Amino acid sequence: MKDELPRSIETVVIGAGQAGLIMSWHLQTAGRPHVVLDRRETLGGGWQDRWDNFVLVGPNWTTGLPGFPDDDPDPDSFMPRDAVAARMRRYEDVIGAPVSRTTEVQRLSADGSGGRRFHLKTSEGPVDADEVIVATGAFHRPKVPPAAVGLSPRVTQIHAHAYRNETQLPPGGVLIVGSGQTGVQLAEELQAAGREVTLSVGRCGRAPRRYRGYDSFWWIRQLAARGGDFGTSLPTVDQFPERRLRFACNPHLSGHNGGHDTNLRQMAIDGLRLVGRFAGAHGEHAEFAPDLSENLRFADEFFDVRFRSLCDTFADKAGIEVGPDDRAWPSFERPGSPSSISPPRASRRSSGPQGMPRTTTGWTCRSSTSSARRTTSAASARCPD
Amino acid sequence: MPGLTFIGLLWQHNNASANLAGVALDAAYLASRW
Repeated sequence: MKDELPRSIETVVIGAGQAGLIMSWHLQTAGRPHVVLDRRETLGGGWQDRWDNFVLVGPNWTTGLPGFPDDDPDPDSFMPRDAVAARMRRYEDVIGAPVSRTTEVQRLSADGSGGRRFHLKTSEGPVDADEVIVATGAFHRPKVPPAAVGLSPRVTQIHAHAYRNETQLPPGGVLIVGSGQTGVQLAEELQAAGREVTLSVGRCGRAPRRYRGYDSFWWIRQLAARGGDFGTSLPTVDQFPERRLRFACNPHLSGHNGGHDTNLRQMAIDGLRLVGRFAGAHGEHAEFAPDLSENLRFADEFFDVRFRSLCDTFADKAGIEVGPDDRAWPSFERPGSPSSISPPRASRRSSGPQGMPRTTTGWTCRSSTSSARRTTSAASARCPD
Repeated sequence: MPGLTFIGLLWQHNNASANLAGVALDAAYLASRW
């Protein structure tokens, strides 16, 4: 039976994912009365929204949380989706977080009653609080590039947020728009499933799985926790030349199959078709900016430009024994990548899952040029036979 | 606004702010200011 939601309390935490639960642990440790509100029936935050084969990009040891150290028997493996969500639920139990489930915050205003600062309108009634901690995460609404509007309804479109597995897609080739971690990992998954995959590559960096003998996340953890002692702190947000860079994608990397690099050049050698940034669509014809080489070069240089000297200097000053730089450098360079793709012949309309229109024709390449337009979402579009 | 705090968003402090490996550091920072 659901506990009664307090109507007035010192602190309300909105969201019971890892950020909200960690704040709950700190509040309890400090003896501060609080409640954590979460709109879902089951805890596990946004992890529950990921695709079936999702695994963490960070090793299991990164799941250690305050009051709940990592106890995984294989700390260097990579946890699948359901295990991550289950671990969050265990965390709630272990720390005894006062979570009110199925409690959606619908409005927050600075006009609390009874001497409190804030008033929250929730699906379970009003709550007043002096402090509100918003721990909802950043990505709740899928963003489909505006340029996708021009795609024919004969082409099935599905956002990565709704993608669960390959069986959702009609037979044929797949175009993935967006080359952040999700887009690149989905390209790998669909390629392994035997699909002909085209990946529209944006400006996203690449990090090595391991550098000089240590996982990239080990370096990040060290630099974040101890970098300040050696003048090798991670770059902070106030050092960004442009605010929009905060929203740049996470660098290419994967925890699948024990963890590995996701180097687009190697993936192209293995059969992935790379194109530049998605620029627009007209019916069943998609166009791409002529920026593939530039974007691949950006990915190549990302780690060296942003992190390599920090890692090297940190290891040197902290007296950490490290190995040689043994990163692989595939020599693939795509000669004249396609600037547009279209189905090879007239498509036949048929009915797709849940009444969605779809076609069943694979994409083929055509040569044309187009202007660049920025897209940031990992949406995929496909035109099957 | 006093009393209103956000955590777990991209690059609140550094590039670890929004991931499992880094959000605890931001949380500890917030707690240290209570």
